[in-house]
Amino acid sequence: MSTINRMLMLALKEALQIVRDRATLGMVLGVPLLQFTLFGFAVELTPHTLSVTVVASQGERAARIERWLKSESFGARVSRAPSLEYAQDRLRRGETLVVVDANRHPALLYVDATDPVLYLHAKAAIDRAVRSLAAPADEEEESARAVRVVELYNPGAQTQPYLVSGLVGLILTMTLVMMSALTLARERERGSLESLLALRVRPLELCIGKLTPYLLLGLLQGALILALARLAFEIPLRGSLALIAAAAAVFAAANLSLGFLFSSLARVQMQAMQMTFFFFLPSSLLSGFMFPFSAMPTWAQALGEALPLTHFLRIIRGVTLRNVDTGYVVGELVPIAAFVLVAGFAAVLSCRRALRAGPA
Amino acid sequence: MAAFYMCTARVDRQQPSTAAVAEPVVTLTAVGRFAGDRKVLADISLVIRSGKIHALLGPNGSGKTTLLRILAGIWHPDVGRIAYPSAPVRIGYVAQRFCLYDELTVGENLRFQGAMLGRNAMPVTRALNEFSLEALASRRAAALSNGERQRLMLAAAMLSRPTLLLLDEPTTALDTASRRSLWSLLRREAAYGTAVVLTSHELSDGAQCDATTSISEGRLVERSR
Repeated sequence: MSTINRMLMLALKEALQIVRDRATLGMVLGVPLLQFTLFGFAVELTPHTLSVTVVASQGERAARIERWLKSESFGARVSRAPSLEYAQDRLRRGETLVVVDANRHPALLYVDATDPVLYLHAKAAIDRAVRSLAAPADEEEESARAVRVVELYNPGAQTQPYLVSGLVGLILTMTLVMMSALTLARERERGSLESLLALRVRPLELCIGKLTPYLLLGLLQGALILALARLAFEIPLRGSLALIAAAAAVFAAANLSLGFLFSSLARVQMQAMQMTFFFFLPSSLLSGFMFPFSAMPTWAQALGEALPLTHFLRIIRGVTLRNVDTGYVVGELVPIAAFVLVAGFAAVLSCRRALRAGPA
Repeated sequence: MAAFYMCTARVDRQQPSTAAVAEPVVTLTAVGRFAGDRKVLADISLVIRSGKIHALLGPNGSGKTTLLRILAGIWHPDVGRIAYPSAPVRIGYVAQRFCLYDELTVGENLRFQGAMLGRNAMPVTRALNEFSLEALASRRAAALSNGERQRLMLAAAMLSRPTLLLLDEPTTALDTASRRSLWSLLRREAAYGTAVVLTSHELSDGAQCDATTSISEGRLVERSR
């Protein structure tokens, strides 16, 4: 009987601790809500429309192809390009999924096979549309039916190059946010914050000083993952390694700034870890790491655009698989740099508040 | 246990002088601080003078540590004023619990503190020598005994060549010989003109000091000498 009483008292004590620990309670109740929202409404595997770019010097032929592409069987969002080079550049930059060279007969369809899910969807749409024209009634349909498909960037639409290259971003996000989230919370928990405060440390000094080693560690970690991806999975590196390094530095700074913000908001390391998890979940689901970004609804895409991982994935996959140019990388780095500024500013302000609050 | 503080002669200061003592180093005027809605310190007015050892006495939770942290600049008073008439004041602070880095060695901890203090800091080798820490210089702080840790914290506090030395419950958990060494060190620092402020809940510590202030429930209840 006394054992049962003791167990009941332990359960009661534990329940009181849970109820009074708002962060844990928020985690228990908040995570299912977040997961339901993300998995239920945001994540989709198939895009609603396909982005297709048509190259045709003859206006009438281009119009016929466009009609075919926009038909119910294909359902594409079609735009025209003045030249094949221009269209292929759009393909390389990820602005379109399919390029139709209508100047060739049979028409050539270049499909971006970087993302195997999107590629398979595009391939299925092409096959479906061609099948729908099985009995050509006139010259227009006959012309449209004759197509040849060329896979670009990821021949065979393999899963490994797409996922493994993206892993660089995912692992960096997970580790850097977590490590930096623990920094200030650890100082507070261990009592060493008191010594730093007695030394009149300033928020910016603390932020830059504490995060610099993690930045270097992040770059080392990124290089290690990339090297492993090359050696173990033979992931191609078609673009510039220097571009990846520069992007990784800005991306690491973004994650570290956010982690430091969490660290200055949290009272203890456990709270900082919980905040990290809350950020990591949408990052992995809304960034396009696992599910096609273009398949998500507009609101989810808007949220995804605010995440540094979304842009870094485009860069790393763009550089490794599609050999994108510097302009493309800079374009994707701008939102990450903006994130660094906003998160960094918030982190320094929050750190100032935490320092004023003093040691535990 | 061997004597705690085996300090050698100070070579970086002038000889003790009785003429230049008792100047106000820091003055508190009607200082108060809140923790949420709760008042943890109220209406504290105090003058800390150079060359004197000043004890803040009171039971646990009376507000001694809060007051010491305000003196150290770690916390700011919510009301009242703190002034340093003989600015600039160099502050050395020894917290109640170990607040340096377990992962760093004794030497690394002191080098870090010295670097943060800037060019005017005492050389680390001298601090190691003065506090008999040379033999422990390459030992990690995590591997030190409680007494060695406190000696390290005191060495770190002295790196700033403080004109105001603040110690939070420094005699707690010290044996008799170590206490004697500590008092000897504090008296020597005061003789060099340093204003020393320490907190304690033991009246016997107050008897060793030049001035005492008793605090209860955040209020100053008694002042002597």
